[in-house]
Order: sequence, then structure tokens, then C-alpha cells
Amino acid sequence: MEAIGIHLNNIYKTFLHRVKGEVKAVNNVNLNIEHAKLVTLLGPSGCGKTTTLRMVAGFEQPDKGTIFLGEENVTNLLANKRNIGFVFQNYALFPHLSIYENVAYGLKVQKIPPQEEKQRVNEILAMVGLIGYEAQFPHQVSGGEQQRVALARAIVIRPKVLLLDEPLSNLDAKLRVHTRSEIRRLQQSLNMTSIYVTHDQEEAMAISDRIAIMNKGKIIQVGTAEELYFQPNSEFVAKFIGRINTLPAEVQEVDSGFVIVKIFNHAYKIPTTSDGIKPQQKINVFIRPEFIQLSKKVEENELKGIITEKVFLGEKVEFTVDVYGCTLNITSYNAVEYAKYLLNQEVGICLPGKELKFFKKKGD
Amino acid sequence: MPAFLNVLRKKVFTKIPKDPAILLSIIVIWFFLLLFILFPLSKIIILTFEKGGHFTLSNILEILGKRHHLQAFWNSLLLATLVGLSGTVLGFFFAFTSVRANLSKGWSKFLDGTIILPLISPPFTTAIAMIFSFGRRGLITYNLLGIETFNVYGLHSVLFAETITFFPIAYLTLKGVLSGIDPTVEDMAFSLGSSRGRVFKTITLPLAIPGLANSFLLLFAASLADFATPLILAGSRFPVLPTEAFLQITGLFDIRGGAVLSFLLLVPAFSVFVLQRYWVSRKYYVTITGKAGAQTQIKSLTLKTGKIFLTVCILISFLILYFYLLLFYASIVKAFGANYQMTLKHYTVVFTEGLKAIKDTLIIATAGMMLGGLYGVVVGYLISKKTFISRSAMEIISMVNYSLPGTIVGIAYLIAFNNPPIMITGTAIIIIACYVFRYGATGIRTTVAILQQIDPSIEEASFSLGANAITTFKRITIPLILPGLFSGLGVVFIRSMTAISATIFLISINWTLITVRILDKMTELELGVAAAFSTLVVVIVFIVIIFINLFLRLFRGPGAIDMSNILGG
Repeated sequence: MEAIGIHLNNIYKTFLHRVKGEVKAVNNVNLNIEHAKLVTLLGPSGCGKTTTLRMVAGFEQPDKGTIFLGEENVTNLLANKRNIGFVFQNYALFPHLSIYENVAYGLKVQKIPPQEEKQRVNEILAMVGLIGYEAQFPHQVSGGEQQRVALARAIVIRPKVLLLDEPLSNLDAKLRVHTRSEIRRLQQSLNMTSIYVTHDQEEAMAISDRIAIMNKGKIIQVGTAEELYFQPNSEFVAKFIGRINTLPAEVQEVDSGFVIVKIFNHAYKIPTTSDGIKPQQKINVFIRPEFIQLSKKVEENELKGIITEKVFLGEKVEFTVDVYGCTLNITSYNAVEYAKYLLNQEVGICLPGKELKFFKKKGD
Repeated sequence: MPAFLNVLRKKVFTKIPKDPAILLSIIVIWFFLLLFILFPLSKIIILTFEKGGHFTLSNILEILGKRHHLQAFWNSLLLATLVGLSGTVLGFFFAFTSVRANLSKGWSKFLDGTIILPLISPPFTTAIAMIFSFGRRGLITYNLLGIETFNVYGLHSVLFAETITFFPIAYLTLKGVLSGIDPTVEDMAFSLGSSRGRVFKTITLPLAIPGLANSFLLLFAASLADFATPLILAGSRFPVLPTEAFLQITGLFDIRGGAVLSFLLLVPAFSVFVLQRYWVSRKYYVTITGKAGAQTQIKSLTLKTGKIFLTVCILISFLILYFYLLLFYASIVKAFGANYQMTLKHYTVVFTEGLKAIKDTLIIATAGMMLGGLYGVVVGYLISKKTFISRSAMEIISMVNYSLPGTIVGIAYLIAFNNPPIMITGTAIIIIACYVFRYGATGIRTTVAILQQIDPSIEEASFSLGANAITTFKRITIPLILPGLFSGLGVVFIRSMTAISATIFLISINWTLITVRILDKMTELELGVAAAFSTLVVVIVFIVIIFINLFLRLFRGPGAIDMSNILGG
């Protein structure tokens, strides 16, 4: 099937909330998804990701803005005219129809001839591994199987785009990992342009071509998992993707290509553009746990701290270190070496300047 | 666009449905609601407050000026309050025993089965049985105790009969409330050192208070509206509003007087409606939170107290069963109280002279059930699944005829449809319309209850697969609500079989009803025939219930709910 792009232009959606009054659920969202790509909307609950997805599906109407599926402006089109496949968080299987009838429903609506209907349903059931389940009813099969029925029902109609609303959140952890690679495999082999909504960052990183991080109705940053992890554009993204430590700092010197900051009386040179900050300004700097190194001997030009917690996890060791009242999380994958560090031990803390980050704005 | 226009747009225009089928149904439903609910009601109000084209209070003052009518007003309130109290106490006692006395399944079923009887019986049943038992020639007062002077007519008898007839409503309401109280909450109180009595007083009872208030209001309304019992048992010294209104119209042909009297009934009835809807229903506590833990042994009652409670409940159930057996017995003897020789002559009367009433009743009840069911499903679907501009108004107005006493609705229809433009008095249409817009409300409630259990995403899934609103409704919504809908239809049928208070004003030579025939026979003192008619109705209703239960067992869908849930007001 022909894959097409999805384009959201200046989308706004306000809800009237009983207590809070007008809530801007989606506030000027712009997003372009290339054909055959899977983009994940990732964000905390209430960030507007599901509302955005439901507007693409046609279940909600944007207050302002336009939605294009390929060349077609579908903003005012009813959901049943958009030719989309939608996978619901709770699967929304028709409880009174068998697995076969559930999957065949969309084809029957399209009045596909019985012969072709049968062939296409069987094809899809084979694809998701549900041959032999045709006559069963949704309540007779397991959660994972229900999930696959929901997926089969959505893709059997050969939708232009596939929309998935937290499709794995009702599965247990192990099945979740397995099913998400199934979904990815199907999406790639069928070349379906897809939007995937989740609040699970690991899931997002595993399944997506690109991830759009959302907060308070806005898209904060769009990028691949690597881009978001290594080059977050805001404190919000830095904190939302992976773990990160926050340290108080004061700007000492701003130069072209680097900034020098003072953290607990030690100066660090951060190779970056100034981003509009000025000397004497108090800022927060950030560093991921795996970039901090510990040393047994405290050097002159290093911070020192005391290990307050140590968790040995096999392939890695996690430490909590108190540095002048500031708590740092440190992860080391050199488990053999770092296993030797002890609780309450005084250690030197090395912060590589190129891994330190700061942001002008918080991003929320 | 200015801000206020934007808000207006959001509030109004986005709520006009885009789907033409939905829009059309909303318009059609509103047309019927206006015609068959608001228009008749407005007629009563106009007739009450108008004289010679002017607004006046003189009609009301005139009616209240008559001692007899004023007395009826106070009597109605007194009776309703007493029935509300006694029925709630009795209902709570039954519910508490049923939920907290560790009953065996058999006893539990027995209680449920017996208690449901008064809810599905024709009116007069208890009243007739009362006369057979406690009348001048009553089985208990005369034959058993030899008392000849006992007066069966008056407040005490109406109170007793209405309590027996209506306490099942309280039972069903309170059973729901009590079983909703997590026994682990009581366990917690026990573990903190409370005694059984203290747990009951400080935990169980306070948590049940909203339910008790609700039950009181339901019974208050039921008694206020009850026409049949006081007509038979109140006697001339204890007039109440519904019977007074009836006599004013049928005896004195004073339609305005009847309208004013029914308006007086409307005031307390409407207050109860508002109280129940906006106050009590929001006061319920939720005690089941988090994950369900292991089932706990209920220890609210000692084994001995539990047995005593059960015994009392069984005795009262036997009294109800005795009433029904007595009714049947009276229908097969020559003249109850005088000649106890077996005969089938009453049934011969029923199936010859009464055949027309039976046919008419079945036709009207069937038509009422079908149309009422359709109306219930469409309105229920609209108000629970769609957002449109007049949604909550539709929800409230569709409940009005159901909530108001039948006497008011009957008189309103009589006044409204007696003259052009819509002259349907004397036809079957007026009776059917009365049933559809009165008992169709049960269909609405059933539909809403079922639809609330169906996740909205199931319909969205259908839309996303290319189906439009009509296909979705036909292939997804209807099959899902069918089992529940069927039991809702059964209720409409049963109510149509047993109703009298509204339709007594609407029958004619062309169309009559079994319940009205029962009343005729009562006044003609042909009690045997009245008993035979009543027995027939009970039997028909039972057949319908058995049929519904069989159907539900065959097609137990995910949305099906218990009959008792629907009957429980």
C-alpha cells in the first residue's frame, strides 16, 4: 500500500473542564511525519499526546489548525471517512463478535466480497499468529492475544496511517517488550506511516524512528532517541529522557565557543555557545549519571563527596554520592572496578566539561 | 474573532451534532417530549392558575377552602411520611439480614423471590387481600379471632398495605447500598476494639444514611402517588389527594377541580424529585477503593441474632405469600366470607365478559412495550453517548412523567388531548402514549445503565474502521444492549399490565383495561371476579418474567443487568 505523510499545522484544542475551566489540551502543535515512519508522542499524562492522536483519528475536532493525511486536508472529515487504523489502549474489541468477526468488521463495512474478506482476514491472522482463534470471543483469549486482535483489526483494512494509543500499557512487562518489536516489524514490513502514543520512554526509544516530546499541550522537541538523549533542548527533555543530575553553578566567563562555570568553587569549561547567559548569573548545570567518574584519591581540582548508597546490579553499579549537601546519582558499567568502592567512603568526583549542559529556559 | 464569540462558538455550535441521523433523532424526540410531556403538564398548570384569561390563585384557594380537600392534602403528606419511614425500616431490616447475616443461598433466593411479588402485582392486590383477611367477614378477624367490630378502613390499613406493597423498593435500594459497603471497613472497626453494636452504630449505619434518605424519598413518592390502595382501604374518613382528584373528575365532572387537586399533589412530588436527584444521589459514600482484598467473613451479627432476624424476615415473607394464596383462593370459591364452595364461575366471567379487557390490555401493553422500548433506547443512547445542546434538559424532561404521580399524568392527558388540535381521548393511542412516555423511562434508565458499562472506544473503533453512526448503532450498540434492553422491555410490559392511576382517566368504551375492570368489580362487590382478574394478571406477569429470564440465560451479554436492578426504582 502507498504510504503517505501526516502533517499537523498549528493545532489547538481546548476542553472545558468542570473544575479547572478552560484547559488548553493541545496548544499550537506542529508535526510532520514522513511516509512509512513511526513517530512517537511521548510525555507525562495530561500533556496532550492522546488528544493529538485522537484529532488525527477524527474522534476530536481541533479548535484551530489543519491536519493533512498526505495531500488531503482531513480536518473536517468524519473519523469513518479518514481511512485510518486505530489501536486503543483497552483494545475496544467488540465483545459480542468472534475474533474473526472483529477482524472482518471493517471489511464488511467496506462491502469487500466474502471471498476476498476471508482471504485478507486469514492473511492478517497469520501475520499476528492468531490462526485457530477465529471462532473464539474476546473474553476467551489472553490480554496479549486481545492486543493482537486489536492490531489485526486495525491493519486489515489497509489504512493510510496507523494510530496506536498506548497499545501495550495493559500487558505485563515481558509481553510488552515482545509485542513492541512485533508492532515495529509489522509497521516496517507494511510500510505504514504511524503515530504511537506512550508515556514509557524506553518503549518510545525502542520502537520509534523519531520521538516528539510533549508537555502541557506543546511539542518540546522532536528527534531520534539519540538526539533527545545526548542533545536535549531543555531541562524538561533532559529530565524526561533518561536520568540526569542537577548541580547549582555560577557563570564566570562567557566566550565564543565555551562557557566557564563554577560548581562548589571548582571551575569547569563547557564547550558550548552562550545561549544568552551572562557572567555572575546563577544557573543549573546537568550531567547524566554515567558520565561522572569516581576516584579513590581526591585531586586538587576535583569535587569530593561521600558515598551514601551503593547498589550492585551485576553489569553496573549505582552510587548515590553526597557532594556538599547535593545528591548525585552515578552509574558505572565498569562493575568489577567500581564494586570495590565502599559505603561512606570519601571519593573524588570528576565531571567532564563536555558532558555538562545547561539550558536557558526550562522548557515547560 | 472576539473572545466572547469564540466561547459562544465553543459552547453552542460545536454541540450541534454533525451527523444528520443524530440531529434528526434529537429533533423528533424533542417534538414528542414537548407534545406528550410538557404540553399536558402545562395544561394542568394553566387550568390551575387561570380563570377568565387571567392569572389567579382563587382556584387553589377555593379548593383548599373546602375542609375535605385540605384534609386530603395533609392526609397525603402524613401517609407518605409514615409509609416512607415504616417501609424504609422494614426494607433496611430485610436488606441488612440479606447482606450481613450470612444467609444460605436458598434463603437468600427465597427472600428475593417473595419480596419481588408486590412489585410486579396489579394494584389492589394487597388491598383486596387485606379486606379478605381483616374485613367484616375476614378470614383472620372474623373466622380466626371472632372479632366482628374491626374496622379495616382507614389510615392504619392503608399504611399497612402500602408498607407491604412498597417496602421491596427500599429493600432493593438498601441492599445495593449495604453490599456496597466493604466489610473490611467493618473489620477495621472490629480490630480497633469496637463491639458489634458499636460497629453498626458508628460505621454501617452512617454509611447507609444516604441510602436510607433515598429510600425514604422513593417510598414517600410511591405512597403519594398510590391511587389503588387508598381507593379501596382509606374509606370516607381518610381522603387523600389522588382519590379526591379522581372523584372530583369522575363523580362531579369537575375537571378544573381535579386539575387543581392534582397540582397540589405535584408540589410535594416535584420537591421529592428534585431532592432525590440533586441532593441524595450525590451523597453516596464510596468505600470500595484500591484493589479487592481477600473475602472476609462477615461478622456483623452473631449466629443467634442472625437466625432471629432471618426468622422475622421469613414470617413477613409468609404473610406476603399468604396474601397471594388468599387472592387465588377467593377466586375459586363461590363467595368469600359466606360460601366456600369451589367454583370456576369467576373465571368464566373473566373469560367471557372480561375478554375484551384482556385483549385490549395485551394489545396496549404490547404496543406500549415496543414503542416504549424504542423510545427508551433512542433517548438513552442520545443522553449517554452524545453531547448536544439540550442534552441535560432532555434527560430531565424524559423522566418527568415517570417521576410524577400517575394521577397527575392521567388528568394532564385527559385535559390536553380532549380538544383539537390533538383529540385522541377515547382511543388506544392516548393510553399507549401515556405508557410510552411514562414507563419508557425505565427503558431509558436501562439503556443508560448498560451504555455506561460499554467503553466509548468500542464505538470509536467502529468509526475508525469506516462505519458511520447508523451502522455502528445497528451492528455494535444494539447487539450490546439487547439483553438488557429485553429485560427493560419486560418491565415496560409488566408496568403496562398493572398500571391504573394514570390510565383510569384515559379508558373509554372502546378501550378498557384489566386493572380498571378489577376496580369496577370491587365497587360492584363482585370480589371473586376481582380476585380472578388479579390472579390472571399475576400469572401473565409471571409468564413474562420466566420468558425474560430464559432469554437472558440464553443470551447473557456483557451489558445484561439484573431485573431486580430495574424494578428497584
